[in-house]
Amino acid sequence: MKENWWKLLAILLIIYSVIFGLTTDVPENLEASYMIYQSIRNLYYHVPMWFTMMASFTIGFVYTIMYLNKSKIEYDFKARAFNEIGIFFGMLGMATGMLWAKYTWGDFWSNDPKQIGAALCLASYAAYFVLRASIKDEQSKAKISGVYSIFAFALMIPFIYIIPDLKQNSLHPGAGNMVSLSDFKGLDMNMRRVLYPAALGWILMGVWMANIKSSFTYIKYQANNQ
Amino acid sequence: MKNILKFISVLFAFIFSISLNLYSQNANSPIEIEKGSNKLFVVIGVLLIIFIGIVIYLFALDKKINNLKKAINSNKQ
Repeated sequence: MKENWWKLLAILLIIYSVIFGLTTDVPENLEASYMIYQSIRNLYYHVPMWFTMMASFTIGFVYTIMYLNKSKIEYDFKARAFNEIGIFFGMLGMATGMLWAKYTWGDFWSNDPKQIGAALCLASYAAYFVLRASIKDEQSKAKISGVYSIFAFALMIPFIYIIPDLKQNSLHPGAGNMVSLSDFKGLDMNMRRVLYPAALGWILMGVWMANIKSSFTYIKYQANNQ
Repeated sequence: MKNILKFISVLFAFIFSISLNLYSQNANSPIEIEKGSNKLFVVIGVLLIIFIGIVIYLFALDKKINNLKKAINSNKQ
């Protein structure tokens, strides 16, 4: 159990975020903008999905670099698992975001720059898996897709941060002068106390899931090469 | 096993379509539904989406592991 403490931490943080996310007070003045009301609590569940996606892609990127340096196939398994978990959490973030959007902006999809950016980011990572599936040989698959995934990782940053911020008419808070990143910055301490632990909990959860997946791939590889 | 899964999914689709019908009789747009609501149900929906997503991932992984187990067993024989 000693080396598994962080898994316990992940579970406890997520339980904490569910309990306190639903019970602590949220600022009332948000009601004025965008008919958010109590659904502002989604901040504790929707936003950590994206944090986890970015963390997973970043860890996957580090493992890709390590693979390209050392050519150890285990690193490639790790990179693949983390990229997969990144896509998984990105899809969860997309689904939860679309449900939230339906009841605040009136539509599941309103071609918001941030929605499109996130979709493009997921698509560029989906291409990574298509590329992998198309190459048979284990080492060249790892090398080519590794190089591609560096490109996909580099694209994530403009897709998620830069382009949505350049467009001044995003529905998301924080873009142009629409709503309230000032509100988000002035996000009161009560909300921060839940948001940041929730993000950490989900990131650890993502690492856990990716570890399981990469162990599975490793065992499969060993079984095939006996 | 496949039949049970099929049955469950049909059941869910049925329940879902009934509830959607009831829903749409009362309101024309989501904005109208919201009058007098504090929108807490959106948070519940979001939590359910996350939970269902993890369950789906777990099912997929379970299937892959079982397949691997079968493959290893048949190799041994």
